[in-house]
Amino acid sequence: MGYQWHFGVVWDNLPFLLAGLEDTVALTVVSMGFGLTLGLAIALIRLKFPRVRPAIVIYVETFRTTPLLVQLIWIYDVLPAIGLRFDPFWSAILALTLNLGAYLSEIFRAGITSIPMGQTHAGLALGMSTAQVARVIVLPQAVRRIIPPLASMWVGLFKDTSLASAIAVAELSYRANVLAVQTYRPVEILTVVAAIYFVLTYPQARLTYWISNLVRVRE
Amino acid sequence: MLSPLVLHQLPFLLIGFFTTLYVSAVCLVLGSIIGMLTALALLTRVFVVRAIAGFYIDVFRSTPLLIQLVWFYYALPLLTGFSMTSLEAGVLGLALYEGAYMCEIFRSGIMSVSTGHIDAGRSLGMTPWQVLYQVVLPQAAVRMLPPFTGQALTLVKDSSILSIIAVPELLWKAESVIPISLHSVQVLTVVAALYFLVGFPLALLSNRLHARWSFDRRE
Repeated sequence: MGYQWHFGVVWDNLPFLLAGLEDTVALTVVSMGFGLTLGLAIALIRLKFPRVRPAIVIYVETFRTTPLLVQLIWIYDVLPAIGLRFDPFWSAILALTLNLGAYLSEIFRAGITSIPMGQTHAGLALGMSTAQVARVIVLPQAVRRIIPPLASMWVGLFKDTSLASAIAVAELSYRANVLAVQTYRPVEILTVVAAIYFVLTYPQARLTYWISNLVRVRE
Repeated sequence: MLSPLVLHQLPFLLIGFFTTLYVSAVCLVLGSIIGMLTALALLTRVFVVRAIAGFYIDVFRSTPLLIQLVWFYYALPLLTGFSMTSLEAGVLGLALYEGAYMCEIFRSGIMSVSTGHIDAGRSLGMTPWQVLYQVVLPQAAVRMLPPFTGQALTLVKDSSILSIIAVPELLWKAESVIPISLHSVQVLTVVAALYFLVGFPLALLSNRLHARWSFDRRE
């Protein structure tokens, strides 16, 4: 007790920390963009071509049952071994994308398969094309079931980008650790960084909750 | 397949693997207790108790586990003058983090029991504790089990983040033997396989339980 707080250290280094925040946001946005594309592609391939199902199951289960931190470090180490040169940022993007793709493909698949086949058959019987059935019947209903888990994935991802610090991506957590060691003021720096994460994550979490209630399907 | 240098390090990795299992088991128990107490706190009529429980959940769910662990390990001892080993800080941080998520599982499980059952129990002369133990929890437990199993899987994966504060669990052991074994990809693949060994059965169990008790009365 009786700890003397010195927030001046944090104030002096605020530009350095905020520059890290840019990377945190960039990691979240870019990997979510790629992850959505990959997840949707995999879900559609799995539904359309049952023969590749085993390969997809292995991919999905591997990425869902091993820690993201291990995946990040593994990919960071394996890329040079197969002759690819990625900087830490893009290596982290690759790992986050592959991780997200596994989770999102399951979310998409669950959303699409939750619409009973009878509705598709009914649409086709009425003379609609497959594309029309997808656009007018299946997707509008599936989207409402996909959005809530998707929104919570986004919040999770925003926090998970902190793990990229383990492979030296200079995002917020990495810079916090560097500063904590350099300035001998870990209490102030880590507390402020936790507060920054909180201030940014909490509204997103509330928004997620609100959106989920808004689109919730009542049966 | 595996280089002899890596094979030679397998016993060290297995020691780390047991630490991972041990830490996960301890945190699962502690996290469940914390989660259950918080869930009950959220359901009380006393505003202050609800506010404290809500604050705890919001803070721990809206900041990255990495930052929490580093904060507990580096900042808390300086603030309080009470020092902890990395293992103690790691277990404390992980248990509090998972507790905040467990709480939501327990709370929605309890809330899913219709209030008519509670009123019926009370009108039969049961005490509130009797109603909780004999009416609410047996029904809620069945609905909590699938998400609880999923959370246990998340916990095992999250325990890998304890390596950042040098808890000698699987990933930390791996990182310490990589310089000796010279094959980082092989070592990390073994690590991923060990996590898969625990994670995959948990994922299967969670899926089975979801399929069996997939009804959510509130939707």
